Amino acid sequence: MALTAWVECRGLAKALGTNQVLRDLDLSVEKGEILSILGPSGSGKTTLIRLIAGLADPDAGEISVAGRLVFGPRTNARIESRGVGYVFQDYAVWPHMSVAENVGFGLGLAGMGRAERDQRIREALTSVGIAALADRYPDQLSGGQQQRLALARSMAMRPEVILLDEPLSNVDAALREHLRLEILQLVRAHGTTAIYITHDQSEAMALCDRLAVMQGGRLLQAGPPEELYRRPNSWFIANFLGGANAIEGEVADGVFTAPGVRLHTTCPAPASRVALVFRPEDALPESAQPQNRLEGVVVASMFIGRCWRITLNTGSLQFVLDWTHRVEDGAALAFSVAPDRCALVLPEKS
Amino acid sequence: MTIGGAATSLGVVSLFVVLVFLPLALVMGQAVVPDLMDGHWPHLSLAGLEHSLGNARSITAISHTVVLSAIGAVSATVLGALYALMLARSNVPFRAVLRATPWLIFLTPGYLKALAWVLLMSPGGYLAQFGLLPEGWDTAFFSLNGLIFVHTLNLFPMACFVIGAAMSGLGSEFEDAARTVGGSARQAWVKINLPLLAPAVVLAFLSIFAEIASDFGLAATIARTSNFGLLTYSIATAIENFPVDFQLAGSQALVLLAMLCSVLLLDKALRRQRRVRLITGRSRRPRIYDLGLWRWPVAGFGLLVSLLSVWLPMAAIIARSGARTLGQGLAASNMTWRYLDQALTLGQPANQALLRSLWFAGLTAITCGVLALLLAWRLDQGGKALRQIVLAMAVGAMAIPGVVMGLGYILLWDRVPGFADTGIYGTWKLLVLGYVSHGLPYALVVVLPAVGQISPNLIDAARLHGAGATTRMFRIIVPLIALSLVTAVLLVFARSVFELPISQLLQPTAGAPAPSVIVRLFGNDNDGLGSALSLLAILATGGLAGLLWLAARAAGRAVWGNGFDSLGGMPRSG
Repeated sequence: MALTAWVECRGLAKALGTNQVLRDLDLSVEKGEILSILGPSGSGKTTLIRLIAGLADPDAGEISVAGRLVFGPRTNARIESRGVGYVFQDYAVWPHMSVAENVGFGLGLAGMGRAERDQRIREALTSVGIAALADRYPDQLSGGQQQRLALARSMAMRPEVILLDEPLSNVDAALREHLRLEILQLVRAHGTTAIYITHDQSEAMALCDRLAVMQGGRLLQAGPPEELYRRPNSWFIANFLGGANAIEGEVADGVFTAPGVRLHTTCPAPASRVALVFRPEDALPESAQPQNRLEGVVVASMFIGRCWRITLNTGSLQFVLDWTHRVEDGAALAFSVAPDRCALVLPEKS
Repeated sequence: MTIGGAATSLGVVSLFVVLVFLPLALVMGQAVVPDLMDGHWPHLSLAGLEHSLGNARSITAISHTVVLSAIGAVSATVLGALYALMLARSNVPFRAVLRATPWLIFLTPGYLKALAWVLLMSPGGYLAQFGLLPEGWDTAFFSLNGLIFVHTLNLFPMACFVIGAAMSGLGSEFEDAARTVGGSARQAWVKINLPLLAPAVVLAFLSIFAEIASDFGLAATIARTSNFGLLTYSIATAIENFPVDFQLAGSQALVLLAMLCSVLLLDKALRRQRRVRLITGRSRRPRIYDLGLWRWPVAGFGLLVSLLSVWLPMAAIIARSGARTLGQGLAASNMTWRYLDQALTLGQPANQALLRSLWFAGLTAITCGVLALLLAWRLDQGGKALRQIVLAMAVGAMAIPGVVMGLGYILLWDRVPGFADTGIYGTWKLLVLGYVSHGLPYALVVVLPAVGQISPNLIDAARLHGAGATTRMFRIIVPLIALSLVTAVLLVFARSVFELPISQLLQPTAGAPAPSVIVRLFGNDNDGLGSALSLLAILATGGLAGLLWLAARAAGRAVWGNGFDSLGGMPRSG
């Protein structure tokens, strides 16, 4: 079988004990691409990149890196020969080695001479902005600096692909945004292919060329982040990426119907029995799309900064809307949704 | 499992089989299959067991052991709990001394304290000379009372450590919550803290019970002098006296093991019932009670415990090692260098015994350190399950009394074909093997959790950077557990220098090690030389251990730089 993408997985399966962590999973990443893998904890995303790195072996399937088969029915390349870099969630910087020693460790094992090694260490540390800390020990660094060190340590090996396992989950919120940008710039500047694992949807969407969502050991959907956001192929993805309102009902000839609801949609229908989803920010005044109108009673209004988040009861259904102004509890409110924002997915329990 | 993994498991299991299980199985087999070693076709018989245990002496030894263990465990647990409370929750002064006391007690062998108390409490002993010994207390001491007294002073640190750890995990939120809903301080303790601490108290009680039941040091000193028969001493005499009665020794060992097993099972059963997680991860430092003027009497209590358990026994041994006779007391005319001189002069029997012990203990410590490291290395590749099994086996082996282990070694290496043919019975090699089997569990209990604490990601990161198994061992694992490894070696060294029951039972014919010589000297009314030898053994062990530790730290700093200090012997997760 010819595997053509830069990193390619075909039919990967892995069980840990009785728990099937990955099921028949296909994934491909192009050269220089940054792929974010998003999924709730236990969805198998960390297991997937551990298999690519060679830290664990699949039960079935094939993996190739940089056009070379590294795992297959008769192949199991050694970890260090795969050309894979890995940044761990808990940094995993060696506490008994200085910053420079951490970066130089793998270079030394690869047989690189001292002068060249020192040069590489300097470059790597400079690229993440901690060159001045070369002689410090990890316990003298802040969390953000330790994560920069971990990144420099991996990048110094010039890997074919770098795997980042929730690298920002132990960093405080203020620093996270900043580091996110730094990682993105660094990986792009080197043209390194990267797979970035996270359970934070805003981080996943901000950081990637392509986004893949996993659940229960399967890859549900992969594509540009805005496509997944606008055209989710499942209720799970719609809800997981930013939250959504959902109504179960029937669709025929571009018209969705449910008890008390009739909405036009221009989105493709996966079946006749579907769930219609729209996002809180897609709610418009009723005059904007009079043919797609819904009405209810306000039960709560919360100010969330850029707008008011209103909870609306229509009897059997409840909606969450982003609204420009506050509406008193108990007041009636009508709103509308544009037909191209009414996405259709399979109902939750199908 | 790979071939290497299977070989590792096999190696680990056979190590434990030869060092622990086989000797233990022989001891138990001996009790129920009397002609196990006689070359006849073996047959199961409880007659021998009945005969051995049915006589008055065995029954007395068993009942004495149960009574002493139970009372001793209660008093040591109560003292330990009070001591822990004082340290953890009060503003008592002299904290440095009070904190160090349990550790000093823990690190010195019980039989030396027992011998020192014999010097203090004997009629005409040091306390009597200073008029500090009320009428009749000397005779009262040489009975159950004295044993309880010395065991309590010797073992309360165990309760103090266990209960103290639970107290600091408890914090004071639960107590404060009780106060905010209207409970008094007393009610908060009785209704909230005590029930929460109960599992720790029970654990302390059961551990101390097991420790007293398997103790040989006091059984061979105070109990022997007082004619208070105990199981462990009875086992040893059955082997040492002529004619040797293996059947009796085996039967009594079986009873002792059954006792320890029931304690372990009881502990397990109780733990299953109560599952309270005290360490929530958010506990703040517990509030310290301001005792006001009461802090002085409380400090007085703590210092008295310290005096009685560490300083007074030490002073008695120092005084006796420099005195001609015990009866003439501290008079200048009674001073002599004779005993210390004998113990320090090369070629003198006492000095030979001391050097022999230091050499055997050093060999044992290094062997255990290397074995623990090898096991840690192989287990790093063998996965979590195997490490848990080895740790469980190690903890199990720690519960086996030295005297039972010694008996098992005699049976295995003197009487079982194949093992007996090696000819190591009666030589120093068997003694060191016995020390190793006794010390290895301690080394593993220190080293394996340290390895287990290393985040697997640190090892995986090294693999990703191209480090093979050997590189990972010497450049990642060893530096990260260096202080634990040194601690393990020193712990095994100190234990082996003073290990009494195995020294006594596996004594090489070429010459006895220091512990059995010390006890024999006291038994033969040569307590001056016995004290001098004890004193030198303590100084040599403490000095050597201190030097080694400092040297290891300096070496660690030189090789691994400042990073070494930041580890503090216990690596963080990374």
